[in-house]
Amino acid sequence: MSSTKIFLKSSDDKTFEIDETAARASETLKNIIDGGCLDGVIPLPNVSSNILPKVIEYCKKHGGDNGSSKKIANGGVDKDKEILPDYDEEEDKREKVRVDELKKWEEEYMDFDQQVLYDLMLAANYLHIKGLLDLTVEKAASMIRGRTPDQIRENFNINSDFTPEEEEEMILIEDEWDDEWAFD
Amino acid sequence: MEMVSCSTQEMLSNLPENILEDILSRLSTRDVVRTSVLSTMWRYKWISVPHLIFSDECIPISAGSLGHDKLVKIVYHVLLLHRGPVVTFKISSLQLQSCSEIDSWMLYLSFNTVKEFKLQISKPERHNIPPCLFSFTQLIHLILVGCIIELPVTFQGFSCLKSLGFQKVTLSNATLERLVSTCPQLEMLKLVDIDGPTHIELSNPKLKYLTISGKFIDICLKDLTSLVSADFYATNAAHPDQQRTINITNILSSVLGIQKLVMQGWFLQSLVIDDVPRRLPSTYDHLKSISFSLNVEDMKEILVAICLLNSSPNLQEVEILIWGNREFAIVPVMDLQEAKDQLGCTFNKLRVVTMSKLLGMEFELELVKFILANSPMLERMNISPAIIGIGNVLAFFKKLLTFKRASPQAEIVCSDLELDRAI
Repeated sequence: MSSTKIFLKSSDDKTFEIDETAARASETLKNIIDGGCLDGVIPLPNVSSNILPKVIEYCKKHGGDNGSSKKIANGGVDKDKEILPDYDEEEDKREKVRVDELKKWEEEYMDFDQQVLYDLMLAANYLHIKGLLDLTVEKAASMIRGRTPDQIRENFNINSDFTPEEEEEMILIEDEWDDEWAFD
Repeated sequence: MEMVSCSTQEMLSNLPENILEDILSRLSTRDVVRTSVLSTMWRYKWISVPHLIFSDECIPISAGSLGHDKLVKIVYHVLLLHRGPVVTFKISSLQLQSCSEIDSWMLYLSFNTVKEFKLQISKPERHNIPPCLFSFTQLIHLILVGCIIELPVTFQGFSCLKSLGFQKVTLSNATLERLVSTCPQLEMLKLVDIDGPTHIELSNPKLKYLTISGKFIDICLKDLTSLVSADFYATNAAHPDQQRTINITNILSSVLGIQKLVMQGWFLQSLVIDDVPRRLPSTYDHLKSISFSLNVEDMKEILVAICLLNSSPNLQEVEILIWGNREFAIVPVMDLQEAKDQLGCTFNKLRVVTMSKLLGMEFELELVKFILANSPMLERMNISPAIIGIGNVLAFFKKLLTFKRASPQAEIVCSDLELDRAI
């Protein structure tokens, strides 16, 4: 694999360098590279210089092996498909070690605040980086799963904008929440 | 500027539609419905989430014995308010009983585009599946637990179905065979504690993963050319008078590409024939992992196990769960010479061997000796004795440690606390 350098320009005009193999983790960048439209610098008007290094960090780790990153990212999602056997024909000891190492890396990588989470989700969506989108979306889902409405509002800075009457109704519903569902 | 501060404040609400849908799709229906009280914007967001997943956590704890009624009411409400396609419908709860409402849900869903359907009835009375389920033409995953299945005569097969799981399901031989052979994309079949079939013939060239667990069933595998993993577990022995076609030479005759094989419980015994060959007619070059339980007091079973090992030159992992009972043996072990003569193969790729619940029997030692001497790449042999065999464990291990090892890096690891205490 050649390690041609690609330059990415953030929305606030800062330039970052990335290896071509790493950049290929992004479907969007891959298409630009394969389309031969490489004109020195690729402008990314939707990604700021705050978040671009974080995206590049992910691509560096996963460039060239989308398959296995997908496997991990889906690990938490597909757990309901209990019919699937845990057996995987490709899997062997070394693979397990590698996967464990990657999981640990992801854990550290994912340690950031909500604002970064939000920006990363948008960047991953815009750049079509499936593994990163899976990771961030799963993190967002975990911030709703099993939480009370107040906790969710706090996690995502959601303001309840119900009218006083509605608010009262909602409070009633919330009060009964542990016992009943919203429409009861 | 205000736009920016608004978007940072209400980031979740301002996400692109596809991301938000993805987030909500990962939550249980209870969590999704709960978002309706967050704000006016969230009031009706949940109604178009395509995945409806109901489990025990949907039932309020206070419902007590009324859990079933409560759950039925909740499903009814959700279906009433839901708009747009339903892609996943799963209901699994310890409280759910067979009831007529289930049929109305299925009828309602049959006008939809369900790709994944799971129904789990946990109460003893099984639910008769209505014919409309068989018109879910877009199904990819189907799991039924605690049901009775009869195929409508008009059933044409599920053209997209990839995985099928039945547990505690009552159905006939013919129904099962028809289901398996009329789903051209079927890759995974899991049958656990099914009632009805005593003899099944499975045929499907796409099938990759097969699990059959429960009471002994006479199994005939035909045309399963893609099968990579087979997992059998028989909870009882085949009745001596039961007519059967299953045996060591034909169970694997159509599955030449198999990579992983599990035979637990009484399954190995069901493969015994009068004259067990030294090896199978074909060699299983792709078989990497094998796991079985073995009655070391049964000569016939030992020969079947040896036949399997002799036919699998590329094994990487072997796992043997030992048990011993002369009463249940077809031919009790008298003299091991025949077994010793039959052992004859080299495991050039074998890395890990696990033998558990060892009883200290002579054949166990012979097998360990043979594997150690014929596995040049062996990394690890895990041994754990059964508690009852503990008396002669020390002598057993003394002997075992003197065996020649073909692999210089082979370790013998004893992974049993009982033994630590004994030594």
